[in-house]
Amino acid sequence: MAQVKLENVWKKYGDVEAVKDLSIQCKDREFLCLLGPSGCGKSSTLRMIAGLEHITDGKIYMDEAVVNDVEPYKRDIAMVFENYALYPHKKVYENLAYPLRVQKRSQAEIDQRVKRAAEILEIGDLLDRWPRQLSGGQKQRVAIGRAIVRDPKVFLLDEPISHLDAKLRTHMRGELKRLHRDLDATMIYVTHDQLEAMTMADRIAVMNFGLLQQLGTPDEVFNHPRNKFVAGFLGDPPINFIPCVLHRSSGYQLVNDQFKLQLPDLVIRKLAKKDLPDGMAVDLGLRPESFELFTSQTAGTEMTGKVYVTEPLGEDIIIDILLGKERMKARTVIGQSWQIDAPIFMKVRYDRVHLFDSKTEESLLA
Amino acid sequence: MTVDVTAAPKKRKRSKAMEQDTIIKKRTPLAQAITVVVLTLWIVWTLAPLLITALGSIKTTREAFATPTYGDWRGVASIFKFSPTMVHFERLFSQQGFGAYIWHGLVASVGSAAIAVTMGTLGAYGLSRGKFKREGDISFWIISTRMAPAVVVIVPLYYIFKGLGMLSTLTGLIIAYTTFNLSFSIWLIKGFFDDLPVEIEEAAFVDGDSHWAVFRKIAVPLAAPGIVASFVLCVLFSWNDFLFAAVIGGHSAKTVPVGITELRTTVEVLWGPLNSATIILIIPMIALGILIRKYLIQGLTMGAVRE
Repeated sequence: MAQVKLENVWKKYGDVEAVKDLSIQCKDREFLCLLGPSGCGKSSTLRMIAGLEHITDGKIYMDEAVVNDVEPYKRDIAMVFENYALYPHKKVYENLAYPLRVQKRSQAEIDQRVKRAAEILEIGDLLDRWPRQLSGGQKQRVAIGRAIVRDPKVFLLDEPISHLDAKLRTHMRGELKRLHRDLDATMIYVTHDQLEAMTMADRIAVMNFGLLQQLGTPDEVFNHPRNKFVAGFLGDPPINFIPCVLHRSSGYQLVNDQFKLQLPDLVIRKLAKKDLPDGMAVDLGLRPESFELFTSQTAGTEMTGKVYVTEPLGEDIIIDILLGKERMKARTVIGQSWQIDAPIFMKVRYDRVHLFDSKTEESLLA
Repeated sequence: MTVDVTAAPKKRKRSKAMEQDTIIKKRTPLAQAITVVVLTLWIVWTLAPLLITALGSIKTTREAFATPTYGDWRGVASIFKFSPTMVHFERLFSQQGFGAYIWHGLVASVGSAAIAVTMGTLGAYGLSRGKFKREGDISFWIISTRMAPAVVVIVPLYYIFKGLGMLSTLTGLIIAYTTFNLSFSIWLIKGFFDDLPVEIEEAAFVDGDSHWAVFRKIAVPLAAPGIVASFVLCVLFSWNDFLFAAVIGGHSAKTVPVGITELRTTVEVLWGPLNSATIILIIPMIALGILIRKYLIQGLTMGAVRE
């Protein structure tokens, strides 16, 4: 096992800057997720760690050694590819045995390790099949099996479960997390699915346009997003952004043509340090879970909107609310009857609000 | 997770065949009749000369030239009435020296194909995987050597080979064929490498293989159908060639096609041996043709990568 450190790493394809000045450290035995939309540079980053892409600038360390110019086969890494990349001309057993054969291990050891990996992944009965005879989920397991037969320094996983169907994906999330624990391994996992990152990672590195947006635990990136992008990328349904103006005439007030919110001390304490100008344009970030909803005017309700549509999810219900011209989503437990076009009254849970500078998109509460 | 997919590839093939059945069934009887008639005519047109040659090679000259009387249509059947003889084949080997011609042809074609395919595989992999300046121009330059007909280069080649003292040698003939076969095999094999998903090689690379090992253990086996096909086509080109063999091969490296021309002497045309020699020339080509078809159809990469 090992730690991986990226120091001011750049990747350019011609004029395109895929990764810009990236510095991340993946600790020993950590499950680190690189999360971001497609084209954000997360796969390029993983491929640079694997040695499959040349590093334009910067340094990548494995443990203490710089590995910039080390060939992939000398890096002692295992990688699971998005499209599985099984060897089509070898049966499942030989696919799993391949990394061990390369290392010239004894047949007895190969046999024992392959059987063990197959057992962990429950593919023992597939060893005699050809890759083309496997289903997507089975191929994916074989691909993971090929990575875990040996003890590499680092596991690199490039969207390994993004092509599975939803049910299998949910199952595999749990399996992978458990696998990480059982193997006690350093894993770097690339995904565009925030749910995968939230559920599995020890820490998440959120990337966009080749830039690291935030690096932190799932709790940190979800509850304390550093900027609008991070806040918007995590969470389903996504966070609502409502443009407001910050007034400082009497305390701190958020004003919009639909509402006027008097910010409580809890929030002001964080804002006070920044010395923000009066009349500043800000975006109020409210997650769908950050309101209490009422069908009638109740003491303390601060916003009034109209129910646009409701989406029941069994246990919960997502309500699309029209607030002036803005559309927002709120989530609450099912129970009350919400009528379309009926007025809806909202009370903001101030311990959950986010505020962003409209210009820089940086969080004002971080 | 426990879906049984053992028979999946077979099933897929069958379902494709069934699709084709349904398409044919949709045709009207008239269209089908026309199809059958046209195909029958085409088969007769292409195979009749071959049949006559084949029969002529095992008939005596008298039998071969026997014609039915004018208007006697049933007499057509008489072309099948003969007692088989190997006399023409015997004559080819005993008097005309065809044993040596076949040997020359084999050595020249297999030798050249082996060189062209070995070098072609390396070159094709480089062009397919490597990223270097003016890659497109280099690829085009390689294929451009095949654009002019062989006749255009035969005179300069003759003088080059003369200067090198390689006229009338098998080595010379092999090199001459390789100049043509190499560019062809590079392009054919490159297509097969291009179709291989790069991730499979990257996986092997990460699994601990060096560049060379990845090439040898992953890329080449997966491109094998293309490499074999290219080998066969190179053999066919050389085995079948007349121009290079006649000009470069000269007297001491005669091949079968050149040998055949010698059966038309100043005195007579040796029709029987000529037919036999043609059959000797054709048989390996048919055999290889069948082999290559089997390899070209094979799609080894199917199902290894998510499609």
